[in-house]
Amino acid sequence: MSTNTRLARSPDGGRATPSLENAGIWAVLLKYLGLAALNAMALIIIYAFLDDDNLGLAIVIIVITVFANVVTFVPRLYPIRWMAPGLMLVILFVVYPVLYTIVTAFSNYGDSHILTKSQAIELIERRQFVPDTAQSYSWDLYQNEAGDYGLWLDGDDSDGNRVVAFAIMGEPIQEVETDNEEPPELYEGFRLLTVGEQAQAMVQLQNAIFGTGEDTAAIANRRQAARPLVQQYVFDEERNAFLDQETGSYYLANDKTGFFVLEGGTSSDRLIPGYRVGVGLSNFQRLYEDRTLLTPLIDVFLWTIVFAILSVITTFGFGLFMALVLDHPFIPFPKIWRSIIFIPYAIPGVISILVWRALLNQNLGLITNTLFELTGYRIPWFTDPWHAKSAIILVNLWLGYPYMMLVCSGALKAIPSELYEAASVDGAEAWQSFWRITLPMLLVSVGPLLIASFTYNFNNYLLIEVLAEGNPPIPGTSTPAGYTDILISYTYNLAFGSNQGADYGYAAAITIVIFTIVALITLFNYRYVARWERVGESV
Amino acid sequence: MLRDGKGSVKVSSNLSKKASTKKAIPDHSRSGIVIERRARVIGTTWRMIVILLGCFFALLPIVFVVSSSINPAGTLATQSLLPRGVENLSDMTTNFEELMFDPQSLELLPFWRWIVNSFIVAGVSTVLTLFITMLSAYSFSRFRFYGRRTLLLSLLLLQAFPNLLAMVAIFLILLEIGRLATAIPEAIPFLSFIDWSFMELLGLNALGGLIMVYVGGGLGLNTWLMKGFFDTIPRDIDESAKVDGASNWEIFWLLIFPLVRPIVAVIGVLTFIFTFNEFVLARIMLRDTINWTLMVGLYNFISAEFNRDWGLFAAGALVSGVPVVILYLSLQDQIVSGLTAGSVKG
Amino acid sequence: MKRNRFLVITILFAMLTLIVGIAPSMAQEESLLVWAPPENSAAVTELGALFEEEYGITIEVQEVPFDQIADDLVNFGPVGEGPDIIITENSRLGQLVANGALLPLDLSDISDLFNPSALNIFTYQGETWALPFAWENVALIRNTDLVPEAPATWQEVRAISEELQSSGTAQYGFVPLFGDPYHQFPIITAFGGYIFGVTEDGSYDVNDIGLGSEGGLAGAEFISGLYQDGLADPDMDNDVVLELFAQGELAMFITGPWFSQRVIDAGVPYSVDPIPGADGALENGRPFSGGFGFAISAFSDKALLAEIFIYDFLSTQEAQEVMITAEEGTVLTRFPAFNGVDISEDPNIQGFIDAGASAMPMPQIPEMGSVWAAWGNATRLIGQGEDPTESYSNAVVQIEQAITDAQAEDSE
Repeated sequence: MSTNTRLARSPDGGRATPSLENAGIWAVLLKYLGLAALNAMALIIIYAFLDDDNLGLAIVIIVITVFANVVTFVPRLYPIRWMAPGLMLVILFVVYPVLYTIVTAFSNYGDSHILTKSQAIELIERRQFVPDTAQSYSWDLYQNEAGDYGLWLDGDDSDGNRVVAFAIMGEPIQEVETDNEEPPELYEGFRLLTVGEQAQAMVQLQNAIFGTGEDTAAIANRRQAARPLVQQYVFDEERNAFLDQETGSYYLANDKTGFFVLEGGTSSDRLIPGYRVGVGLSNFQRLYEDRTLLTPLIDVFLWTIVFAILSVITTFGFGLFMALVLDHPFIPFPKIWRSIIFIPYAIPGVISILVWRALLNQNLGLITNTLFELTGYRIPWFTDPWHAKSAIILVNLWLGYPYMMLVCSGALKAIPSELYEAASVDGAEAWQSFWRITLPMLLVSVGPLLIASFTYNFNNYLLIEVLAEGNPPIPGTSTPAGYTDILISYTYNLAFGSNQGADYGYAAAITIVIFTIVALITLFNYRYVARWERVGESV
Repeated sequence: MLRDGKGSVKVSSNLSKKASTKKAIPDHSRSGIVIERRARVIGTTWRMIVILLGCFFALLPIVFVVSSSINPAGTLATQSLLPRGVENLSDMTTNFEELMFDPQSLELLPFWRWIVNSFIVAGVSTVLTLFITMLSAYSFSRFRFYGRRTLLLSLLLLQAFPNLLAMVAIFLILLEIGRLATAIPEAIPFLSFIDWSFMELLGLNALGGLIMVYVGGGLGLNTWLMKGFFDTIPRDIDESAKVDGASNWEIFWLLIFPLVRPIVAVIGVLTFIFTFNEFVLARIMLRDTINWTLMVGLYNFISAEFNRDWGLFAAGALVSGVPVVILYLSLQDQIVSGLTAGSVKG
Repeated sequence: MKRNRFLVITILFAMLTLIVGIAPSMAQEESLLVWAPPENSAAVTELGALFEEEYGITIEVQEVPFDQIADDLVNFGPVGEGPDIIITENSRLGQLVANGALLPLDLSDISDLFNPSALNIFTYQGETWALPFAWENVALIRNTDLVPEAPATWQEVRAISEELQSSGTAQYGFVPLFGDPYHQFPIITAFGGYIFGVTEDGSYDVNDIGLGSEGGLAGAEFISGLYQDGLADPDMDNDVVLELFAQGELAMFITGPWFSQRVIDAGVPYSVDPIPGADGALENGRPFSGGFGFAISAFSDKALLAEIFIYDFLSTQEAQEVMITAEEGTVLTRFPAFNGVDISEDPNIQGFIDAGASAMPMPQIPEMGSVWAAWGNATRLIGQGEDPTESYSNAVVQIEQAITDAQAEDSE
């Protein structure tokens, strides 16, 4: 057994393989068997992903597997071993989506450009047309004993003469002489299928071709079959273009804009849909160059900061206050009160926000009317900028304080009581002990939470959109914006309400810029975290 | 001796200092039981006033949620507490009956199945989150290693990343994981003797996949929170245990874990509520009605542009709030019982 | 300690078993997957039973909120997680078609079974994209006790409002929904306003924005006058308006058939009237018409089967009646698109349909995206007492700016 009491603080774990010393041979065996199983599983998955052309996810799994192995075999990484299960999940479900967003920001991903190029090609190649020279029919479906399908074709040729034919897969199409208007029940061993039977066969016959060689027929849709039915667009790898078999012209792939554009045509003569391409920095450029965007931006940015800070201060302040008030030995039924005050957190946010919205309605809202009767002033909650802002802070306080209260109750109890005893021996006043002991100790444990709360509110899209939709509007702006819009609601509304529909690439670029801002603020705040941590260590 | 909160009542010599400290009011009396009792009454009284005001603030909107839930018209009732259309008592239960007991609507919208799903998702996510978070937090709090701060900071920063597009990425990940059920036998035919369909349980439209997403997504913040509390536990405890020859695992499991129970309960409650009430991710990941969680089901009542069925939604929200509040009630003792600090000096 | 570890493992194992127990059910052999919004999912499930009986094909229904169906289809359809058939509203056609997400339909030989307006709503870029089952537009709801005669013009509406208010009979004569361009559009059009001009070939001219036209500004001026002179108040949404109507404090407002039941429940004698016109302009204001229909996903590999469902099955009276039938004890919330569906029982629908005689389909072109935000803000500002001409003109500037930005980017 080790007697190294400084182990916990030694930079490299101090010992070679600390965990092995206490563990029996079976535990060691179990560990390696487990790792072997994990590796085997990972290899299978990686192979399957690669086989499926899914490079991105394969790399992620490789990273995760390598990580697990390195952590297990490198003694220096012993502390990381404790976090391995968590970090593996974080890599898959947090880091990978972040990288995905970053990649998206450099693409034109959005409406009209949702598909990858190969998906778009696949979709466009599905389209078919009936050539001018082709014969078009109405159709009925037959089947023989052997289960082969036959197609009864009935139509008029270009001269208006009736043409009837019967087509079987892989055999020449036979012309049929008949005077009957209706298709026969039986034809050469083939039986006319009922509507239900036809329906059953449809999935199988989705791309079926009847006839043989040059002379083929196929079902175009419910209304008609065509002889022949021709694929309209054929992709030519070499020319990187679609050949339109109907007109003979080419649609060239423009890998800068992500459209197949008609050769010699204007940029609007193009195939629908387009596809996803990398567009370099142009999403960021657009953000930077868009002067109209910038005019309301300063107002919006300032309000975002104020909103986030005030939200943290009010929820934390009120939550802590309630936690302190409730933390008292002589209060009757403390559990009941605590639970009631906690209830707002148990109710889904959207319904609460909408109830608040109704309560604050300027005409019939209960709160507005009560205040009107008390003060004679009808508060214009959602039409006056300042009142709208205070309404938002108020509702966010209601939504957020139970969380803070809960965390503070736990944190208060985690403060060692000896500290208070020492303080009270010193004769510290209540206020002093709050400022000198309670608050600093509390910040040790909930400090990071306050930062997280700040970043959460910085991007609190749901609250802003549901409560006030950014209203009231700022008059005279060059881009629609509201007084209560925060950065993310303002910019996302631009990215999603824009002219081309949703523009995920632009939204991703915005996301990254906003993230950079938040990250800088967080880094700034982090210095305090470091300080709090030292407070904790000095205990 | 070293207990606080309610425990300190028994230690009479400790009482005055304790009470005055915690009451956070100026204590002008340094002696005399009468004055002390007066201070106690005043302290309790103002606290009760504050508490009642707090309850009023907390319940004000809730009252209208309740009112909407008994509103057979299905609208958000905010004009009067007893909504129009309520003529007798049975009208008030219309929404609850339709939601929970009407066989016809249950066939379409299996309320009880949603409840079960929600409990599975929230329960499993909470247990896994707590377990994984505790391990990480312990390491962050007790070991000092190269890159520790960077790693901690990265976790915090990752949490701040606006996750709008993350949804699409997560959808694709789960889609591919679910497809492994058929992709593996296709890619590696000699392994097809194994039934790989269990992979579907971790993919789209399955609770397992959603649970993984929840656990992975919430880890950063929870680790921070947990680590903060681990930091408040004096190191002397593990140092002395180490002298006695305890392994890290033993220190973690036998010494630290009992001490941080309050915060484990706190994070447990928070994670449970979050996963129970989450619907944005769940709606996209769970497609079939039968696999929905309660919140996905409830939100569909109000997703119509007009004629949102607030009545059903409010009734469902209240019903779903009950287990959450019960959970909180039952874990309260854990949360506020505080440190059993006896072991500190032991 | 060992026991603890054992416990943890046991719990985890038990939970894993639970998850395994909740395995997703495997897909059936021949089936169609339909995405339906919550409002219609019960009806589609009922349709599915009928269809299965007749054709032996199962219809699986997944409930997806209305505003998500189009987004989810274009994002998740290409990777094979989309449905075969969706229910969509016409306003989403622009987005769906731009992403190549729908197959065009050929309804020529069943078109006479449907109301031409309902079919027209789903025609975009020369093709029909959905088989409609319902459509809707707004009308003027009037308290017949307070206002016995239907007003013919908005000027009359204003006169009635003034009279009701000054005589103390009711607080309001007519109030527009606050900041709601959709519901204020019929007023704007009555004065000759429009959104986009129409070119000779019938398509929209995005360079001619009619909100800033003489008629558009006159409409804005009129609405502004209601607020300025205390005849209407800001922050009045549907709930407020319906409540005031029920209290007899509001004589007239604009709404659609979706609130038919609530209008009846208000317990006030009422009439559903066409939108008034304006002196010297249109005879009737023009509301937007919107439609709901079934469309086939272009990503589906069961298109032929889906066509049987749409062409053969959904064009029957039986199927269309299922889609339109109101919940027991309530009234219809939309008009049937199918001619054969009987609506004579319904107290309001005919009134709404009559009001729809002057309706126009909402433009589906992508440029509408930038119209809503700018126009919505202008509408709100007018309600808050800002200058109507300035507000509308600025909205036009914002829309023009967005359109030129988009064109510039597009031509790169």
